[in-house]
Amino acid sequence: MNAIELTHIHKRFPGFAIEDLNLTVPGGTICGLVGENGAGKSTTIRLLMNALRPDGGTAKVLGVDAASPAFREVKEDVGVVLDEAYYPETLNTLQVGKVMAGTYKRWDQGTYEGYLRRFDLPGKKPFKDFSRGMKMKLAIAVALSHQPRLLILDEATSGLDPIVRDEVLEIFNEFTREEDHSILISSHIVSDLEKLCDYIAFLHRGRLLFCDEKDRLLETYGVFAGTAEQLESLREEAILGREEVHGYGGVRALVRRDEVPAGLELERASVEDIILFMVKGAKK
Amino acid sequence: MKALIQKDFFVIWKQMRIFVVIILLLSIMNSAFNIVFLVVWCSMLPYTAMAYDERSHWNQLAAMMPYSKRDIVLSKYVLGWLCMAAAGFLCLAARVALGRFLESEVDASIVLVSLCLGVISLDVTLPAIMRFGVERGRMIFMVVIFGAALGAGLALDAVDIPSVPLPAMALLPLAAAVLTAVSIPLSMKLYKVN
Repeated sequence: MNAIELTHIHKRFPGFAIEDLNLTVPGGTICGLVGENGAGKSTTIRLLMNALRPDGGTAKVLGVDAASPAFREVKEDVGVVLDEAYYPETLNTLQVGKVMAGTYKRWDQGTYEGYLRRFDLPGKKPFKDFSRGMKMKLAIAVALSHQPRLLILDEATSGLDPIVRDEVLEIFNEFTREEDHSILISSHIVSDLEKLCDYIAFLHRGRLLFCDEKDRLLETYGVFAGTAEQLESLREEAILGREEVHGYGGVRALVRRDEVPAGLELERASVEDIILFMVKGAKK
Repeated sequence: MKALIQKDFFVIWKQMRIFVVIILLLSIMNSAFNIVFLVVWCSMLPYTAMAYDERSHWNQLAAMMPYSKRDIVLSKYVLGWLCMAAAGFLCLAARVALGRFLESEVDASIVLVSLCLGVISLDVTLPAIMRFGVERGRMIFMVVIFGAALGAGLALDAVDIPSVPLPAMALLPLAAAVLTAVSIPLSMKLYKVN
């Protein structure tokens, strides 16, 4: 079963639109949603959780249509971390635990307290006095404490210091060791996604430019580094984006490995390379 | 819904303690206006909770959780009813306690009238607040609550409640019930995730 299925989703706002968005996250996998600010990542997540109604298309989560009455039950199985923690500022972690115990049927107080200890979060300090990192850690603790099958994480690792970020990524990895556990994670920190994800989806100005297995992306693309003349000798279809290397008179370009001569030496393209070349490397 | 009401109680706990002190202080004065004012004032506590929700964008997070729109809307009404009932009970209890030392009448019908007015003011203002948010809707409820409390309180001070015929007395709870039946579905229709 697919964890997430967005089919032909359309949503219009003044000055921005999600256009014909099709995105599938197979069950048991981690999908990274990448895109610049305002690309539509948070809107996609809100559409997915039925917090926004699409103008067209369908959104399914864990096999259930998000617009159906049965979807409320599905929300028990979905842990969500938004770009901010959004708890009322006077609450403390103990009170948040009590409220969540009344919210989720399968709330596990022991798991929650375990995460509070692991993240070193105080019990009685009001939420307004938390640093951004502490707030995000609380949101992550809540999302993981009601036995979810799917985690939806919107910039969940931003604001965390590198050590905690690494620990949190390890927790997400542990989460997907269960066969039917899946994650959709959006982040600006592409290196995190490269470390964690099986699939990468790239959203640009409300359109999905690609959604593919990470390993296949890395096998498909390579980075050419050489002179402009050498690049010009390649087939036009092979080049997806290029940039001048300032001070050296050379060029770097993202190319399709299967479209260039077999012997041509290419650098390994990172996910970040692929995305940056696709966005700003105007094809010449 | 219980979890949402619990969350609101945690959020407004400090304000509630202040309300209790004010209720006890004002109860010393034997005035119907005070009781009406206090009970109707307590009907504003859901707006305090909603102001905190708005500031923290709680509703965006709540939309991701297994709460229905009905739960979210109804919880604010129930919170208002509970706060008003607690205020009414405290006013009565304070007057009973003070009655031992001061010449003080205890009139439960004034509390009943206050509760009805509080429910009505909540019914009238909450749909607009659900739509426009607390900041923009603040003027609406200030006008309604102050008008209701002032008008009714002064009238009650002037009128001998037990002399009011029973059918006329029954109109107020009936009006509160009818308005509540209209207000809740309207609030659900107008509710907007801010």
